[in-house]
Amino acid sequence: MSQPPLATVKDPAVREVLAHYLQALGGVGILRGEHSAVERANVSIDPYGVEMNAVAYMQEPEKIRTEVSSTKTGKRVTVVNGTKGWRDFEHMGFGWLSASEVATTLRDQSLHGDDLGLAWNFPKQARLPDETIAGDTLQVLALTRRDGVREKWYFDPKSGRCVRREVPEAGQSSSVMTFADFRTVQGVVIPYMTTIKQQGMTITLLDQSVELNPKLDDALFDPPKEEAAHSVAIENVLDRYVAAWGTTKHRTSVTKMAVLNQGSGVQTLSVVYQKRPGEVLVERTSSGLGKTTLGFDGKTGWESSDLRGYRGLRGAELAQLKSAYELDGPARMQWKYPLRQWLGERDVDGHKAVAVKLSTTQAPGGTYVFGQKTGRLLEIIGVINNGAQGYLPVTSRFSDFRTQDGVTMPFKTTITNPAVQVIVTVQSVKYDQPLDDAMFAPRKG
Amino acid sequence: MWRRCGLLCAVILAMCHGAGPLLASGEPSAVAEPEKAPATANHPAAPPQPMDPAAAVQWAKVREATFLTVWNTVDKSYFDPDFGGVDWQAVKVKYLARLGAVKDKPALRRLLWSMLGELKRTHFAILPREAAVFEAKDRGKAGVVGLDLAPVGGQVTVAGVTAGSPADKAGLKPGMIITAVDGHSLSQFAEELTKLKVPELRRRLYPTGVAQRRLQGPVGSKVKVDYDDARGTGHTVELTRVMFTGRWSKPIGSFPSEPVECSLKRGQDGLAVMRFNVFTPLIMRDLRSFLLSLQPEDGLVIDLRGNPGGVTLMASGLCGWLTAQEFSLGTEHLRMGLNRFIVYQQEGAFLGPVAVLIDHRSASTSEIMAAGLQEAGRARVFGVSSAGAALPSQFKKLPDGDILQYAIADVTTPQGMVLEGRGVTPDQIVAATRADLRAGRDPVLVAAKTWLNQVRTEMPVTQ
Repeated sequence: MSQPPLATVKDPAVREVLAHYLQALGGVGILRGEHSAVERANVSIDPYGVEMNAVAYMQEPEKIRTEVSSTKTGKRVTVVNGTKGWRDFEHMGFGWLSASEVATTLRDQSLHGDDLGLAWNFPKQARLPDETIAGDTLQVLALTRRDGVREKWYFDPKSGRCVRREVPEAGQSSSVMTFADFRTVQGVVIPYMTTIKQQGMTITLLDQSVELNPKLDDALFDPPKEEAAHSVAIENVLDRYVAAWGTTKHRTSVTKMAVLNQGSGVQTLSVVYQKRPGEVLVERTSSGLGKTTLGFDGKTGWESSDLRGYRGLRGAELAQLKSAYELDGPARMQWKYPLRQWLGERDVDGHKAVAVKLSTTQAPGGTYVFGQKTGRLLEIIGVINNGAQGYLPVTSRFSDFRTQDGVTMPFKTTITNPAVQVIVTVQSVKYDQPLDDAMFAPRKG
Repeated sequence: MWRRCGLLCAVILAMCHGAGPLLASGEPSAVAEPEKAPATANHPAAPPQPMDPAAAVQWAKVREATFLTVWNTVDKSYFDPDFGGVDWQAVKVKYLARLGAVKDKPALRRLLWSMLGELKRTHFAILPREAAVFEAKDRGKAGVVGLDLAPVGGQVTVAGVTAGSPADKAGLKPGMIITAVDGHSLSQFAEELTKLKVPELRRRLYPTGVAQRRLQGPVGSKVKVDYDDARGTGHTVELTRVMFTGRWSKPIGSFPSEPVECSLKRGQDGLAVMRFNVFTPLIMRDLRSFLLSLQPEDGLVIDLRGNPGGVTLMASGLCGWLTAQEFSLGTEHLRMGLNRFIVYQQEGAFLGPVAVLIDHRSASTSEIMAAGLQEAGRARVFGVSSAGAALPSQFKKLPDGDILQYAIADVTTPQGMVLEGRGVTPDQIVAATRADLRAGRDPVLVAAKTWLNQVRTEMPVTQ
């Protein structure tokens, strides 16, 4: 990026604001002299009461390492090194970033890359009417990124500083970033307070220190050796699992009938209907307790029961329902759980097995145990998350594997918690039955 | 009204058979007395016969398997990993040492009762299979005499008599004090409880539960009832048990079938009274329809007096028809995990004032519902404090055929109060006296209706 940052900005009204802005940052010369940085900040997230410490290391051209720590989550490290990237989250595991995650990280976290490459990064610019926010009249630019996303930047006309950015988020209201407490560090003007409001929460970053052009060890950006080596082994385990399962790729629907036996002698007949792309209906009838039906019609999750009436399912409960009954669940496992941890070999009922912890990026997942010989999933040690209703740690053990129509699945699942044991025995599985979409719709009656 | 053995009564079954201690006691074998057939001149007691060797071996296996099932089940599932300070391993060693001397099922029950009693918690019980009703043909085991008993003024008192029942025909009336059932003195039993330092919450309830349980038995069999009339004069009657002719709940797994009573009445004055003796899904539709039929300006009484509990999910379900917003009735805490009893508002819910009636016999799910509604500000609670026996439990068939009831969770109210051992304290304490019962007065219901009427007149008129 050797040409002047504003070389291709045609509109003089836009150029005027951006030139003032670059000057306010310290000037193009100073910015071009920045090659590395270390930024330490305290981060809080409200209304959740989360407090964290964060450190960001940046090394041009494309090396970024962020470490975020809190007593609740432990330490979470995310690194991009050129075209590759990885995450290592304490208690959750290690995983490689996807190509798009690498690109997004480089785009969003750079040493003034956005600023020095303004015209290139935002090829379309427009000056909008000034706006008054909290008593201050601000100059406003609409800057459209190369991917078509249109941001709004707000500048203080006196200082030239950018004090606010609005960034649209797919499917949600915009994120709003505001910048304050500007300080000069080695000639560069940096906001020591950044506030980001999105999805009902407010993230506040308060810089503790910023160091420009320190010498950074390359090893900071290298993945941990053991975890990187294990990631290959884990990928192999998951590949074998998917191969052992078969595929439902060409199935339009699945209907399963099963009997659940609880330790207290309660027997429940359960019929599960699944239809592409993700509709689910579960009908359970327990002797003495009546009927409970759960469903998801693609838009609305719901439950209707003889005892509790009707309610909507949302959040963790809905995610649990959708996850438990994904048609291509096994095939999606590698995508769903980007964080993995190798737990080593173990024995399950006399079978040699390997255990792997699989997590999403949001929360620790469960321990998955795969048979070494067969590749099959033998056991999951995890938590049934019922959202506001609570949670139940359980161990689910799978057995009586049978292959039907190219799919191998366990016909017996034993789910255990110290207080409860449920044995699920599959009675029948049918594929590609015509299922009317209407059957998945909420039943309020 | 007909009475039947509730869960709480079953909890103290051991005393009926002279078995182990009450579950709240600290002296496991203090009151254990083996049952003996009385010897008479015409029927001298036969000497005990030695068991056939093969049968003895089989019995030893069943006995051990049953013992270990009980001990292991509690070991794995008890909600407190520290067992409330009880050394559960030591308990196993202690009772295993006595197992060899156990010659028959009644003795095994006594031993197991004693062992479970070490935990000092409710909802641990051994239910004799022969007394449990699972099928219609079993209902003859649970004959009744038509007496409803309640603790009043420290005495086991007749709270109600079913019209036309054996008790009614024998002249028993509300307000009378029951002093003995089949020769077992209730005052002596109460003294034993005091000696065993059983907590007061249990001491006032257990004699009633014992008496109520003893009144039940095979249809056609007889039971002797000693009672004091209004003047304090003692009487004895012999009653023949008859079949309960009302509805029976469906068994739920290993949880037996129960006689069900449900009364749903709405007066011309707009005051509705809902009364049911157990939380069973059998009546859910009736209760829901009743709630949906109420008018917005009505007042509702939910009478949970004498209701020992049942399916807790029903409580959250019912409350869904009493609210316009989601709230919690409380939380059950398992050894691993927890479950909140969330109430989900239902369309057409009744939003008028609600009064809940409780007494010392209101237990378990009744307490969870009363406490939850009280803390949510959705109901005002009247009566006397509840049993303080609210532990979610499960049932399991044992190798010897009996049924183990075992608690798997503790319960806290939405505000974090533990119900077990404490109970629910009414907002307005109203205690019926024996004089009230004799006169047919129900001061608790009167107090509730007075309050409802007061609130209704203060309510803004809504369309």
